[in-house]
Amino acid sequence: MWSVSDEALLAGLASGDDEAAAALVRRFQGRIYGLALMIVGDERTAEDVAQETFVKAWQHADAYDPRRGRVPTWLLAIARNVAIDAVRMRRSEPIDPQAILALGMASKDPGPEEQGSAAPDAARLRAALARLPNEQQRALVMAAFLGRTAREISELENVPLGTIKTRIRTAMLKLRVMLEVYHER
Amino acid sequence: MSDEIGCRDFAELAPELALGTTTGEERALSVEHLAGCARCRQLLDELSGLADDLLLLVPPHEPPIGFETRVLERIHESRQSPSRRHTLRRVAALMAAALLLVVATAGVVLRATSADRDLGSSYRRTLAVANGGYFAAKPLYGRAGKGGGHIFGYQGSPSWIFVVVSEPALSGRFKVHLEMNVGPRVVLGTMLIEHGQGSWGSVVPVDLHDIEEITLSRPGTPEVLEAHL
Repeated sequence: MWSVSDEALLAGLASGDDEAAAALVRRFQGRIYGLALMIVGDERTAEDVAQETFVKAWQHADAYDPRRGRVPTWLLAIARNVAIDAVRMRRSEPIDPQAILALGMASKDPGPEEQGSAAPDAARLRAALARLPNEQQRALVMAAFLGRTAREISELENVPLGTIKTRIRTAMLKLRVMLEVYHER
Repeated sequence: MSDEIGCRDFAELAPELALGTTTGEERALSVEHLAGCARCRQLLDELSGLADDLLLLVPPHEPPIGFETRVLERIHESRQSPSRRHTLRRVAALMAAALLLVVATAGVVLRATSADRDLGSSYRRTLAVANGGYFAAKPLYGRAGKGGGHIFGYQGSPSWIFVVVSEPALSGRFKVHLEMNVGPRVVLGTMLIEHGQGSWGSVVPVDLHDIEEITLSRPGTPEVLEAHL
């Protein structure tokens, strides 16, 4: 079946094409809402965040440059920042990174959408994340998904700042090496 | 830290830079180094891609029924209010410009998402300067539901609000009230609106989270403008 590209749908959204806008929302609503729900922790706020993400996408669609990144990660980055702001505004309790990891983020098994060859890179990244020590996974999750600085993580984890910086750095560099190994095979 | 960093120092900072969680000083030093080092730009590009790809690992979760319709309605509403859209975009652009002053040398954008990530990072660092929790901007609405300006709120030490009114039908002195989630209404002060234009700010004695609504009214008359922070 012929499928319109993500970039074409985003361009349609920017130009006021209702069908393209609806298709874009349908294509990405699960991912956007899933990320929002994971970060904010309640369904009502998650829907607000997800809605706001698509409105922002419409507002800034004309500034999207396909040479610099893919539509899914562009949308998810918007959702992440909107969700982090929502958490800060609501003065919510800090989210336990272990709860995020428990969602299957770090797993040797592919996610439900990664069966077969649909998203081999995500499956490899998921497996690589699973190979990191737990304390590195926690620090990375808090920085990457919850927008925490090393100093904030240090205070939340009650661990020296230098140790947290090392955990984040080591985690990212290990992932990079592990994924390079995959790509070179 | 010295004024200049080498490749080894940059490699230490690069992962946090890619995640958008570095301090302003670290970022400024990094950008200076990046300007003359293609190898480190490549490293940051790869790590930024990795940081972006991590977001793809989150399991999808279908939103409640009717989500698509509600999103499209919001976009339609925004389309039908071009002046409001442009106003908000101007406000957003001004806010972004102010925030980006914190990292004046941050001009390298390696990936599409890094611009958004940088802005978020700058925002958080700016808040940290004055122990801030968040900064918010919300529209002021008149009784007929029409926009009449904006309220900006800062949650920090101290917390404050700034009110900007643009409503041709209004003129005179208006009391600014805080309606609290719990507790009595607080009169914050009096704002002067002349020929439909006015601006006024004040420190607020409560957390912004605890404010249900901010209203402007004349003594003895119903609220004429209100905003939910």
